[in-house]
Amino acid sequence: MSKDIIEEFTSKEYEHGWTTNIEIEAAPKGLNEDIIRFISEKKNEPDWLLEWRLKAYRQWTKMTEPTWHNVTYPPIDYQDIIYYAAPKQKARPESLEDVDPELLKTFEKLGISLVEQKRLTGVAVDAVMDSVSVATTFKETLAELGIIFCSFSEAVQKHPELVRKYMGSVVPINDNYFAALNSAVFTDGSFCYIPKGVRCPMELSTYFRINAANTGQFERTLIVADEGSYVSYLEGCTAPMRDENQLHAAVVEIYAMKNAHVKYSTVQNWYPGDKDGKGGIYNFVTKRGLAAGDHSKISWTQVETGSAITWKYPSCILKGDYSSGEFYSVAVTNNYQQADTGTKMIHIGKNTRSRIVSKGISAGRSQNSYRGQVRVLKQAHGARNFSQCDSLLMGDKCGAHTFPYIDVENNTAHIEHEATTSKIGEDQIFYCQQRGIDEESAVALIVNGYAKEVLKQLPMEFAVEAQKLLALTLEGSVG
Amino acid sequence: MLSIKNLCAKIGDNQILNGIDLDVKPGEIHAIMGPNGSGKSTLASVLAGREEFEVTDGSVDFLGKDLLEMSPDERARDGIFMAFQYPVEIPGVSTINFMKTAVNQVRSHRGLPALDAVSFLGLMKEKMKLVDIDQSLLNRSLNEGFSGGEKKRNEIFQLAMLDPRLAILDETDSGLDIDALRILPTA
Repeated sequence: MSKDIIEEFTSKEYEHGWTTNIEIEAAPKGLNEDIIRFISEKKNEPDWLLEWRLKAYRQWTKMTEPTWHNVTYPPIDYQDIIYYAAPKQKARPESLEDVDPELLKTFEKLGISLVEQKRLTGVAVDAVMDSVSVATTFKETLAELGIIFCSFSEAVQKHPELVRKYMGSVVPINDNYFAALNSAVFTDGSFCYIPKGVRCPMELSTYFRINAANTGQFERTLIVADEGSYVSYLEGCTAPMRDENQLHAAVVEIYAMKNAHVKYSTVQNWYPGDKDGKGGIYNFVTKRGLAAGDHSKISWTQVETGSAITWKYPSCILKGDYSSGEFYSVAVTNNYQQADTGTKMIHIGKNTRSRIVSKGISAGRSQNSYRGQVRVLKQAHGARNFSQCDSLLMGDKCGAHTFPYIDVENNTAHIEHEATTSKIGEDQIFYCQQRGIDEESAVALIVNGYAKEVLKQLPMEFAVEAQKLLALTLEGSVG
Repeated sequence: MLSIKNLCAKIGDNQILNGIDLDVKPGEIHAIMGPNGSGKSTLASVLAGREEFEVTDGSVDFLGKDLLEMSPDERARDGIFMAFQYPVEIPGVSTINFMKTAVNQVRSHRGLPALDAVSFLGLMKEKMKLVDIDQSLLNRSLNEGFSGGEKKRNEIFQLAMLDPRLAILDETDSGLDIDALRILPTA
């Protein structure tokens, strides 16, 4: 069937603006079933996956974009987006000297090593460099333990049974508008499977999944932790990431079986738009973990400093008895950025636990909202939840909002909720200055103190970079 | 060391200081006394560099520099220390972490290398004994939940750690009928 489609396309070339050469770099703008078939064919996907995509697309056409969010943006023209493009062969800079000096300054401030700077800007990394051999040794160690860690596309080819079994089991295609869209047109992402009883010996990071570049727009990630396994996964980067594509609608699914523990950490610094609020990435993400097995545990940690709009609720469905979910978040907004973020903890099994610590920081003219839902179903005996949502305001032109939803159907539940709103007092800054600390360092010190409880959840090296990132994002926001 | 000439300062529309003159030489201790509202805390704040107070006339010379031209942190790094009457709290920032940042910024300004963790701990232990302050207080967030007396002790501890050239102690809670402001150089 697919062969016919290709022939159909090539004969209609002038109508749709396609080139004659079959090795096309990019699809024309717009979204319809043909484009989806094209994407699937290009990626050499099995029929079941094409059907899955088509089902999602048909669902998406029947859905309407949600409007309950506390963020504003001009309407997105979904027909004005290119849904498939081969990795860009950009002209690579010869050396770091050819790279935008502003970007390099940021790298310096974040303490990013020269090797990493080269990799991030596309400067060719010397083949002899340790980074390549480190990645190779890394892959060997994982293979020995039976851990699968590869791109999603590769997983579809090499481990289709696993992908087929778990994909969509945590975020079904009709879950929400953007998840449906992602399910139809997802490009690539990570796939990870940890076998029974295996403790992954190192942080899994997209850095080591070679070919991580240019997968941003509709990323799809699936992590499956078998019984008694453990993995800590890191997504993202403190370096400022730019992308021509404005809409980023990713989906991340985590499936944890009995006694498994998955820790998922994100540091996001996508381009936030300029000082006047023009441009910037729309980061509309669906992230969910299913603690399916008894005593399973899923922890989400996020440091969101970039994007023009951040709209995401990494959540946990606590199905297994004694399962637990955690959500730690620092969301920073400055200039004209907007954030509507938080989490959902759904208690289903018996004696489940959830913990939410959310630290919002607003500066400039930004708007920062925490939206959280703690739901305890009728059968969820002995559920416990602790939520703490704090907002820190810097200056008087920004906003902090909190929308907590608590929905309890079982009277043995213990739910605790605390919230504070504070300002960085001039008194605090003056106190630091009187002890010899300059104003910017004072702000960094105070903000990092405020976010400490979240930052300490991050793996060590990431935590250090995240601290610097916080300070950098808030530079110049006082006074 | 410190030379104040005809210092006049106001806050909002209130003229509080009307021509203060004071000379402090190394090794001297000056106690400035007066009833409430006479401007003692204002003088301390102006010397420390609080922006709410506007200097309308006069000059302040500190170690040959024009103090009024310097930002509060610059004045501190040059050796001015003011003990606050009501020290503010900074949650999430331990006293130790706070002090390490301050001490190293001051050292850097004086051309000295930053103290590593071990040397810093050594300095801390020495000063802790001197001021008789408990380690547990220092591990907690700065001033958070401290009693009045603990806050005072913490101020003096910081003074000992920072080794300033001039210390300004606002002692309006000394319990006397006439409150006192002490300005003393510390060698």
